[in-house]
Amino acid sequence: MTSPLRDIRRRELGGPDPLDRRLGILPQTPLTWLRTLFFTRSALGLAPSLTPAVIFLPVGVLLGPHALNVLSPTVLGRLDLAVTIALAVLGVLVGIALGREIRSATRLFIAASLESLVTIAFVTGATIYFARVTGLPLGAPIAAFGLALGLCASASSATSADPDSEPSAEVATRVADLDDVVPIVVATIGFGLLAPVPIEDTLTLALATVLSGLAVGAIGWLLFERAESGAERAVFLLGALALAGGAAAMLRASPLAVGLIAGLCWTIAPGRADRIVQDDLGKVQHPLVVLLLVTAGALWAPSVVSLWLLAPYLLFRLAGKVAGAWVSARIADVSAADLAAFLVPPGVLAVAFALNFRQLLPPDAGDTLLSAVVIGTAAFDLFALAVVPHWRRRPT
Amino acid sequence: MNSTDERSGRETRLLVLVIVVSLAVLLLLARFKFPPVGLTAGPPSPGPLDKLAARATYDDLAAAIAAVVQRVEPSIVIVQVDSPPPEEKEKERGKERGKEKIGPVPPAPALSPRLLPAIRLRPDIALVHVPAGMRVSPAQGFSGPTAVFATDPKREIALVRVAPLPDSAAGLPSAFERFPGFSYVAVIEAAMGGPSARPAFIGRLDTSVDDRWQPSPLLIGGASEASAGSLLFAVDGRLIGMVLPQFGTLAVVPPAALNAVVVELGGGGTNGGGV
Repeated sequence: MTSPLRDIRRRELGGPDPLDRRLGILPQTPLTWLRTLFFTRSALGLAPSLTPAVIFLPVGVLLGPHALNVLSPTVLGRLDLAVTIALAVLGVLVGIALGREIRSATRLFIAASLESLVTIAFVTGATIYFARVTGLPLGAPIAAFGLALGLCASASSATSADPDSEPSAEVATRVADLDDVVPIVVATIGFGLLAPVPIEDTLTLALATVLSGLAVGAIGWLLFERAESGAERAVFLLGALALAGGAAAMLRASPLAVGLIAGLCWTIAPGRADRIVQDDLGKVQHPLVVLLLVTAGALWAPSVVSLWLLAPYLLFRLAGKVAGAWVSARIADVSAADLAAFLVPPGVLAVAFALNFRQLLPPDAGDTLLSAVVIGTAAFDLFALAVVPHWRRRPT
Repeated sequence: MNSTDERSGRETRLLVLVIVVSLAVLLLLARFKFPPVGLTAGPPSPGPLDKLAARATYDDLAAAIAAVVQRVEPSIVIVQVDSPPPEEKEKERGKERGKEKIGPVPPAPALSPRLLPAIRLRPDIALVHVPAGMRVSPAQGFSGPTAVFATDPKREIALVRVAPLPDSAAGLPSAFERFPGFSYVAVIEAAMGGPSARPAFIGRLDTSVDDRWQPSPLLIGGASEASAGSLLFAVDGRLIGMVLPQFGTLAVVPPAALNAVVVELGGGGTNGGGV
């Protein structure tokens, strides 16, 4: 007998404890239910079960200018370049995932891209309609803002799923890894097309983004395997990532796109550059995620407009994920309800997209977008923890 | 019906339910209108490298002044003023001679046309300085006012009708009450393409008694860097006032005094959002 309130993340290692079975499971009180949301019983003791976004976004808000002002506007301005490099790192990770899966799991990539496109279409359409009808002052062209919110909404992290727990969780995790490629590509092209600049400039910028990624990829490929020590290799890697972030910042291009192309190069190119990058990035990946989330939380600016935007964002992201899962479930050969349930949490990628668009949009619009996505991400992560396990628990 | 069909049917029902509920809530919420605010699309944020680059203080001042222009642009209308043609002047003088029995006056030299900034104090009415001996003339080569609403030669101002903004309250400037002086301000002047601005330091301001204006204007101490007819804005975009000639020097007429004149000349009361 298993507790009806336990989801796969809160399962004990090695299955139910025999002692528990003998003693029987105590009836759940609201307090114990709340505790199960915050902790998981593991072999080594209590460990937090909440996703990083739920923990570090509020920490960022607390440290930000609207609360303790530890991260003052000046500090946040200085952090902007670090954020750009962190975005390039995320792009590299997405690129490596794409490079590895594209040949062996083309169907999954198509399914993930379809799911992503459906969500982008839902949220973009709903946001444009809502902003037009209600007269929301967005401070940016409505189409560009709607597209930005749609792209943020398309990200999924599948953090409510343990990839090894069941086949559908494994598929969902891979779909969540691959569904970030389309938004990065759409952002690179779409923003250029919506900007009031000649089409030649847009194409030049897109080409410059690709060339920067290829250059970083080529430099890394030539250097990483020739490093004489681990420390030297780490310096080469950090230099390549700083180059990716710096080039993107200089060109005002997407660091996610530059990183994605570099990561793709390292995976496709002969040698083991991708494994070197992945091993070394493993050491800095978590601090960078924390940096992104805390910075995003600190940049959160309470505004009425961002609260209004939650209506299309929350409603149509959920609808988009359900519809996207329904469309792609047949291709991925998985239950649509399971896939939708696992894809609900947006995770750090949604916040990363919002930070990226904040650098491209006018200041007021960028702050509004980021604030809406920060609240929406925290809400969806909590929703995924509290509601999705019930949603998936159905008679089979 | 097997379990796969049941499951598929359940998933389709779930999809339809989620979409229908989302649409219904969105349509319901879309019935509400967001309160109008004057937010317009601005330029993109500075890039991450720009923020790290060493900046001179003058760069910060230039950025602040550029931001003021961008913010106040909806409140400013460019107006052209020029001297009336000699025959019109003569007709006017003839009228005055008939009324006041004044002797013949030698014709004044014609003043060259000037561009002046008008401040929008109502959604469709703007106030502009019209120097003595000049009049509002039709805009040439740019979009100016549609008609003159009222003139006040005593105060050397005119109210002009301008194309209303889409939102009734958007574009009306907010007022800087009791500007203390000794501060850098943005001096807004007129150019063919729209308002232009430059920074200026305003030092001592002394209250002067002038029954034409209520509340009283503030005399600018020392050599003023602003010209008559220009508008002063704080670096946060609030209107400090209009620079007008007074007692042979220049004074800042505060927003409340400008607003009182609009009411006196029949321009109507404020309808929110403005000075």
